[in-house]
Amino acid sequence: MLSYLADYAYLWSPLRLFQYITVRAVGAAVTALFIGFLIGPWLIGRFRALKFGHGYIDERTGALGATYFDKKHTPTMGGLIIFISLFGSVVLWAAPNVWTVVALFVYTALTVPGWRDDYLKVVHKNKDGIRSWEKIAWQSLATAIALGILLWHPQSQAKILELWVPFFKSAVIQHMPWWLLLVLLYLWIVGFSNAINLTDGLDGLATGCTITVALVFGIMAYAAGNSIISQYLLISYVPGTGELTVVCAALIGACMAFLWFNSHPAEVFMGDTGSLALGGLIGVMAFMIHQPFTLVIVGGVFVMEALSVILQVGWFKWTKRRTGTGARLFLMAPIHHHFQKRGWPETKVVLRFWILSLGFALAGLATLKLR
Amino acid sequence: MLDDPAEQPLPVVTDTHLAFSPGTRLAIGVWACLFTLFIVLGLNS
Repeated sequence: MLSYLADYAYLWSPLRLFQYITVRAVGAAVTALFIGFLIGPWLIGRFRALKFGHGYIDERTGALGATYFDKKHTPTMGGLIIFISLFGSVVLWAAPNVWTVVALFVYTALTVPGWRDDYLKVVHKNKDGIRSWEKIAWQSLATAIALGILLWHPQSQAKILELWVPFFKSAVIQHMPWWLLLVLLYLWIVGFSNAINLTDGLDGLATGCTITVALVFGIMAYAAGNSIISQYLLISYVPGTGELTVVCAALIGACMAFLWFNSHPAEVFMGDTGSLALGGLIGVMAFMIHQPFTLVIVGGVFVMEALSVILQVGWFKWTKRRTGTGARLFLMAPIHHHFQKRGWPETKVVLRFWILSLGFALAGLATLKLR
Repeated sequence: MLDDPAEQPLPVVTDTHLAFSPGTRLAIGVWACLFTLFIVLGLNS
């Protein structure tokens, strides 16, 4: 909301700087980083005092997670650090418009079930967390309300119904039916929520990959919100979405602060509080800047992690039905555990996946020009 | 096996509520007001 200060530039000329998205994006990143560093140690201390660790070894990883140190009592719910940092920063630096409001709404709406899931797991020692139908209900409601706002608001109602795919110079569908958008948006929000949730199995893995996605989306949002750049690149021009650059910058700052504490050996895990909401946020932003399919490329690591689980389970069930004995494609799924089982140290897996994530990010950026 | 550190008995949870200080409550209140303002301004833009 500091953007409103630019209206008073006639009183003091440096206030005009607040009208620039780039200036506010830098401010948002620094503010989120600062808030994260400030509240991180305090929140982690509180979580430790309240014994907010899982208190059990993850069934999927077994003793693997405790090979190098005891992860059992590392507090979770660290997603709250990202949430508070991002939120404080965005409310301060982003200009309020329908795009930023919807982004923050989805982020908040998915933080709630994630937090509840973690709360049930760590406080009530309920390994299953919230019930599946409850999680699905939250995700469905968040998607429906977000779409409702986007279809209702004059700034977004026409633009949101366009469907763009990479490598095409114009929208492949100019006016898609609202129900198709609802299905796609739901698939993206739920899909990426779960994909980040699956990726969040090693220290810093999901956070690092989220930073690269946010970086690319920050650039893409800036391009989509700028009439000259979007015309030059032959991408969709969506007035107002430039403000999502500020959201992405805040996300980068918040994730950097969280990564400080989440780096190996982690002092805190983001838990479902972080992973569900982050997936929802990048999923909805992808649609708002007309880059939904580019997210599949940019978030390649998340897609790879989710696919490894789907393939592992699918192959196991199929071979069991055919031969009576279930066979596995990977030593363990999600795929990062496969490499751990092969003897790679945790930090090596994480760093190599970050490198992959950077590669996917560059490939995603290349789609801006290849049309 | 109790020799395994991962199998040690869990610590007893004594406090399950986050007790916020008055300062934190004030900060949350201010933040909530700001967010409400953000939504109102955003949807009316």
